[in-house]
Amino acid sequence: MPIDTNVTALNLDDYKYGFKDPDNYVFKSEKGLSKKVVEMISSMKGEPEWMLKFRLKALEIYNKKPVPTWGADLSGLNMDEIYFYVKPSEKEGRSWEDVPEDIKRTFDRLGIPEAERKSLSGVGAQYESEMVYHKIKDELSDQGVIFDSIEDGLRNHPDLFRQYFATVIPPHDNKYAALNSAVWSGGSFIYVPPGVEVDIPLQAYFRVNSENLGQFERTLIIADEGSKLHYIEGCTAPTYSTDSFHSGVIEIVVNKGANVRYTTIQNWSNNMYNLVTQRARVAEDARMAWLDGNLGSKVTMKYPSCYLMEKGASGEIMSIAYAGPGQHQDAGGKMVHAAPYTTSEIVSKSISKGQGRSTYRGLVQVQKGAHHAKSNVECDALLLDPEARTDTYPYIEIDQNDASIGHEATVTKIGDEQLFYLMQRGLAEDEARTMIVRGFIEPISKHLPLEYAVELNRLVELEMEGSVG
Amino acid sequence: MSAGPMAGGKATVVADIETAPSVRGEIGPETVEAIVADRGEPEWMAARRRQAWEVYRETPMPTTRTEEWRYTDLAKIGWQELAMRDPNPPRPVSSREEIPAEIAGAFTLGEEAAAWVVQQNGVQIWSEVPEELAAKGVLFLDFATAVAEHPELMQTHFMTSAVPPTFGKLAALHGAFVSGGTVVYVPDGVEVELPLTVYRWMDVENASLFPHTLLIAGANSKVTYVEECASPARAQEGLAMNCGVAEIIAGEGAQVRYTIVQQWGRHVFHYQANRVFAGKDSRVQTVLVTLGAKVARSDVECDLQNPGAESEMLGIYLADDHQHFDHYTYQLHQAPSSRSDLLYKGALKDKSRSVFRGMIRVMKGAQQTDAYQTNRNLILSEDAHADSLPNLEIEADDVRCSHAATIGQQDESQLFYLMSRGLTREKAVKLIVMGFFEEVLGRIPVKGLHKRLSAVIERKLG
Repeated sequence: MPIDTNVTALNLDDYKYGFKDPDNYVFKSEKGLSKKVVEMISSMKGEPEWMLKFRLKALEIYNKKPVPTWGADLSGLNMDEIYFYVKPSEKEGRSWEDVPEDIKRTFDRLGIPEAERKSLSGVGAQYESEMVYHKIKDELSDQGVIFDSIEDGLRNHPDLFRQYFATVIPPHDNKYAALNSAVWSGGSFIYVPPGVEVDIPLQAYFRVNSENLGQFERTLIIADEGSKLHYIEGCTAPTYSTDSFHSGVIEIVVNKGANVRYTTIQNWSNNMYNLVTQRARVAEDARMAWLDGNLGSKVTMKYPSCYLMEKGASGEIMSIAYAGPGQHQDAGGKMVHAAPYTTSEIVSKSISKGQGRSTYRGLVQVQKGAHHAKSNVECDALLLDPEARTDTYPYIEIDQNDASIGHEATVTKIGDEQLFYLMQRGLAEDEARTMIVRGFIEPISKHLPLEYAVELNRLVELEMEGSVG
Repeated sequence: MSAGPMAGGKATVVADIETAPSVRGEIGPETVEAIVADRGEPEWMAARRRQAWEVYRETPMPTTRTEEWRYTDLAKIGWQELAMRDPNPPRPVSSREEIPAEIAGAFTLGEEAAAWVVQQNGVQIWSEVPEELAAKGVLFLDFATAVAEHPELMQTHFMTSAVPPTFGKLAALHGAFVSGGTVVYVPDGVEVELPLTVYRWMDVENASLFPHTLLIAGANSKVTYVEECASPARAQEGLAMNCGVAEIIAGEGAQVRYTIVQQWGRHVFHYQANRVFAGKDSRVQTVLVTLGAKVARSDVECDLQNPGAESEMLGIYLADDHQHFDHYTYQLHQAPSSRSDLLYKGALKDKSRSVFRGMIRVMKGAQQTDAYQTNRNLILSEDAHADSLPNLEIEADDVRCSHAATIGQQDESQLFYLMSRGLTREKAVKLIVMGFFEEVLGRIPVKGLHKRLSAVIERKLG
C-alpha cells in the first residue's frame, strides 16, 4: 500500500480540534463524585431548595443502578478520576466581547462567531461546566422566545422550568440520566411561544478543555403549540492521554402541532466517553426530527427517542455514525408509539474503518391502542476494512394488530464494480471511494444545514484519503 | 439489555426447576444414576450423562433478564408439575396393526417414506426400515439401540460438536436425562432419495420427554429427514415437557434436508435446540413448522465452519389462543464463501404471542459471505403481540448481508381485490394467509406433507 506522507498527515489522527488551552478556571471541584460535590454545585449556582433535593435523590438513584453491560465497553471509564464541575469564568457573556479572551480565542478557532455571522437566530457556547455565552436575536426575544443557559432558565422562569424539567427524562430512566440529574451544569433552556416560528437555527457549542473533565449539560426545550424550532449542537474537545466524559440530558417537549428539529454533530476527541440521553415527548399532530451525527469520541452510547403520545404525532431519526480505529459508536434510536395514527421513520447509516466498530441499536414499540401506527426503519452499514465491525440490534415490539412496521438493514463494502465504473471515467481510486462514501451518506447529509454538510463532506474526504489499500 | 434506554423486560421471581416442590429429589444425580441402571447403559454413556448434569448444575437458569430469554419467562412454565421421567413407558408393538388407532389416525404413516418409525413418549414402538437401506450401510435407529450397538459413532458425535451440554441450561438438562430419539447415519457417497420419517407421539401428563435426534451425513451423501410430532386431539390437563435436541452433522459435499412439524397438545412446554454443523461445500436445509404446544421455544443454529457451506433455514408458525412461540436463530459464518438464507414467517391469532430473534454473525476472515435473514409477521387479531429482533454482527468487510423484518396486517389492497371478486372478508383473509405461508410450505421436500400441512393450517385459521 503506497502511502503519500502528505495524505497521511491529514488523516483522522490529526484531530482538527485537538488543540488545548491552558487551564484558567475560576473554580474546579475535587476529583470524583460525592454528596459534597453535588451540594457544592448546587450552592455555587444558588439554586432553590427543591433542585438540591432533586440532585441528591438523583445521586442516590445513580449509586444504586449498575453500570450497563448490554452496550459498549465502559470498563475504561473511571469515575474517581473525573472532575465533575469546573467553572471557567465568573459570568456568562451577552456579547462576544464579554467572553474571556482565552475562551474567546478557542471558540474563534472553532468558528463560532463566524457561524453567528452567518445569521443564526441565536448562539450559545459552553466551556467546561458552564455556559460562557448566550445570545439571541432581538426580534425573537421580542416575540417571547427564550434562549437562556439552563441556570438562567431556572432563575428567570422558575414556574415554566419546574413544570417541564425532568418530566421527559426522569432521573431513574438510566444510570447516566441519574448522574446528569445529580451534577448537571450548563446547557440551554429554550421556550418558543405558541405559533412562533424560529426559521433560522439556534445553535449551541460544547467544548471540553480540561483533562479528565466530566461535562453534564442539561437542555430543556419547550416548543409550544404550533411553533417551530431548529436547534443545532456541536461538540469538540482537545486530545489528552486520559479519558474525558460527557453525559448530557436533552429533554424536548413538542406541544400540539409544533415542529422541532434537533441536530447534533458530535466530533469529540477520541478519548471521550459520550453517554447521552435525548428524548422528545411529542403531542397531537406535532413532529420531532432528530439528526444525530456521531463522528468523534472513543465510546458513544446515544439513542435519541420520540415518545409519540398523542394522535397524529410523528417522529424521525436520521443517524449517521463514523467509527475509526479505536472508536465504538453505539447509536440508534427509539420510537414509542403510544397513540393512534402515529408515524415514525429511522434511517441509520454507519461507516466503520480500520478496527472501528459501529452499532445500530434501536427500538420500535407500538403500544396497545396505537392503531394505524406506521414505522419504517432502514439501516445501512459500510465496511471499509477487513478488521472493521458493524452490528445491528433492532427491537420491534408490537402490541397492535393494524400497525405496519418494517425494518431493513444491509451491510456492504465498496463494490469493485462501482469502483471500476468510476475509475474508468478517469477518477483516481481514492477519489472514487470518497465519492461512493459521500453518496452513501447523502440521504442524511442533505438534511444538514449547509455549513455542517460541507464540514461532514470534508471530514469524509479526510477520512478517506490514504485509505486506498 | 436488561436495563438502560431499551429497558422493557419485566422483573420476575425465578422459580427454578430445583426449587419446585414435586420434582425435588427427582432432578438430581440420583435420577441420572437410576436412568443409567434402568437402561443398562455402558459406562461411557453414564459418564456423558453425569458430565451434562454437572454442566446443568453450574449453568444458571435463564431469566427474562437474560437477553436471549427476554420475552419468554421460564419461571412461568410451572416446573412444579413436572416429573423428569415418564412413569409408564409404552411397550413396542409386534405388528403394524397393533399401533394404537389414535396414533395411526394422527399421521399418514409411511407416506412417501424410504423408512419410518413410530415413537410413543420417547419409546420406539414400531419401525419399518427396508433391507436395502441397511445393505447400503444406512443406519436409522432408535437412540437406545444406537448407544448399545454403535458406541464409537455415538461417542464421536453425541453432544460433542453440534450441541454440547454447554449450549445452554436446557440442553444440559437434556444431556443428563435424554430419554430416546433417533440416530441416522448415511455413509459417504450414499444417497437416500425418499425421506426417513419419524412419527413422534406424546400423551404423557406431568412428565418430561428428552428426545434426541442425531443426523450424520457422510461426505457427498444425500438424505432427507422428516419428524412429525403430535398429541391426542382430546384435551390434556397436566403440563408435559418436551425438551429435545437435534444435531445435524453434514460431511463435505453432503446434502441434508431436515423438517420438523411440531403439533403437540396445548398442555406441552416445548423446547428444542437444533444445530447444524456444516462441512465444506455441504448444503443443509432446515424447516421448522410450529403449530402446537402452549409455549414453544426453538433455538435454531447453523455453524458454517467450512468454506462453501450453505444453509437454508425456513420456518413457519401459526399461533392462536394464548400460544407463545419463541424462535431464536443464529447464522454463524466462520469460513469464507459460505452462504446462509433464512426466512421465518408467522401469523398470530387471538391472544397469541410470537418472538423472533435472529442473529447473523460473520467472524473475522469469513470473506465472501452471503447471509440473509427475513422475518415476516401477520397479526390477525387485536390482542396478538409480535416481537421481532433481527440482529447482525459483522466482522468481515467483503460480505453481503441483509436482514428485514415486518410486522403488520394483511394488505388491504389485496383484501379489497379478493372481496371485490365476491369473497367474504374471512375467506379473503384466509386466502391471503395461505398465500403468505405458501412461500415456505412450497419448499418442504415431501409433497404429501405439504398438502396435509396446508389443510392443518387452513383448519387452524378457522
